[in-house]
Amino acid sequence: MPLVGCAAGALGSLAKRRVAVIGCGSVGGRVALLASRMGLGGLVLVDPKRLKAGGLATHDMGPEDVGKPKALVTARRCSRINPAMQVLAFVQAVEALELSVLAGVDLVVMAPDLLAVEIEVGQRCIWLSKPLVHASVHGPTLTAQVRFFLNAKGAGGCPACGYGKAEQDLMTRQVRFSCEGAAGAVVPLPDTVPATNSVSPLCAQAAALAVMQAIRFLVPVGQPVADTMLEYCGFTHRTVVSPITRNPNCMLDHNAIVQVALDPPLGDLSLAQVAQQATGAPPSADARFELEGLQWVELASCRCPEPRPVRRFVARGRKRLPCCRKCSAPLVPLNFYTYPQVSASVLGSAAERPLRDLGARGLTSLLLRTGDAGVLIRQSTPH
Amino acid sequence: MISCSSDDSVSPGLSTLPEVALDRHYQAIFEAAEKSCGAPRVYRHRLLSEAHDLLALCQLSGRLQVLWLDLAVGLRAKLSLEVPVPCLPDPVGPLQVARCALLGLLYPQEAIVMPLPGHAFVRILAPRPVWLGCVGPDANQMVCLGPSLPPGIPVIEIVLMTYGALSMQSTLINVHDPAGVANAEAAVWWQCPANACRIPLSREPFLRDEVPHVP
Repeated sequence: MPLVGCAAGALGSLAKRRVAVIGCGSVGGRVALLASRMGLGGLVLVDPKRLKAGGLATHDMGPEDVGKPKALVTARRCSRINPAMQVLAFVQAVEALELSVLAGVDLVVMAPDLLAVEIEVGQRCIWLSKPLVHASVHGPTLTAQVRFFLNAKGAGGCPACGYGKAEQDLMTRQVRFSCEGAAGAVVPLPDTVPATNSVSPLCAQAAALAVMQAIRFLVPVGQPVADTMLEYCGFTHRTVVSPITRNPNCMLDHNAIVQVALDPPLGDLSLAQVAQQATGAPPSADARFELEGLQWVELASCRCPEPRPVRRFVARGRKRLPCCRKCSAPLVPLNFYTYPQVSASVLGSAAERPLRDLGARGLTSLLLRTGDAGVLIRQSTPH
Repeated sequence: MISCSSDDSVSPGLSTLPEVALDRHYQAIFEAAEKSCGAPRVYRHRLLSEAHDLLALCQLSGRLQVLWLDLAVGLRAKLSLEVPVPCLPDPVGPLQVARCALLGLLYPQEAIVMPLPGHAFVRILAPRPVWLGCVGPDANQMVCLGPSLPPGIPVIEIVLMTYGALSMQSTLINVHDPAGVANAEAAVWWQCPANACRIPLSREPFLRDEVPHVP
């Protein structure tokens, strides 16, 4: 389809683009479906929740999907709509998502129902300098809102830049802004007030506006959308666009990280060598390493009276390690001595050993942080 | 700055911890932790304040000691807390009460801006096995301080809550409570009248010269 003011086949460039959608509910689920129809190259879907019966009032899903993970239901539909598109579905909280997953996309769209998720996604997009589209609705005022954060070198605003005391309070109470309940058919859960209680067309409107903003940015076409807030009022059909600015007192870390690709297999290098090759300097005393899918286990418990040293990287979430040589009981990593991010001081001499000897043979990416600076180091070619 | 010597006119307390001047021992711990602090600038000042207040609390209370403090990734400290800790090594044996707990305190930098589950902060490293409804029965012995704690909760609040939980000055033994219990078996055990009469294990306030609250 030709677009006025664009080269022929401008929309075809979307086939090279990858988009992540965080939250596959009433708004996010529709964003994914609309994005699939635009001929994207890849889609990453993240949502830990399952569809509830009450959600049928607003979600673009059927009764047969009740009880199923929303991310999977949406992923299957997207794949059917666009079989050429690569779709990855993560049925997990965004907090558990590896940073490298979002590093591989061109744009992130989020439509979560928790402020804490907004903050988490906002923070990750700032670090990765990823453009972020935030779509939301407010049922009682029939308002759909789409905010576009460019995240260029951490200079612009972020979702938390506008937070005040009220948002802090809502976050403390973990209030869910659920779209369920507009039909009055479900019992509200504790701390779901004030729920958005939106209607399905409003959710669809928010999704359509969000995808339109995404297309305008990705193609690119039309007026720039960077660092703007688009609001649509269902009572009047009026839209208002206003700028988003950075709050100097924002609670989030507005420093972007650098991304570096290394050629040798990361497992063959020590962390000291990785730091040297990626930054040109050995790791400083305050350097911290976060290895994809792994965590450093210092001590583990077994039947022995004292905890046993492990000093290896093990898969995150792994509850048991090989048995203790003394008592033959399985070693259980002790939470207090387990480090998702491990500092150079804790690693000690292990920072000089090849990662393959420390349980990280197939490592493909890691995050190195030093003070405000961060480097996401990825394997350039698979070995 | 408020020093902790007895001849001072201002009596230091929990509300004046930020103004407490650390003695040489605690100042050295603070400075070592400050050097290794790897937090981004936005979190750094807050984590250092938390570390200072924690050390000041140790200095004031006499019942808390920081054995190890690390600010490389969030705040991680090994603490020794003088508090009665109920243990039941033999399920049919008598309750044993230890006089001191070795605590592992984790305060991730996300805790400054986000609510985290109540079990995210404190582990009991010793003694074992602790016999309380709010302490998990597995090797990690996570202390559950509630369904979730508010963002930015001060570290000393967490320490005081832990003291209250271990001494059973504040306790949860109702297994049907929506907040849930970490060890249902222990919660039921403590409901038994013969055992419930031992609650609390101590009425001593955290700061020994505090006047206990009498309702």
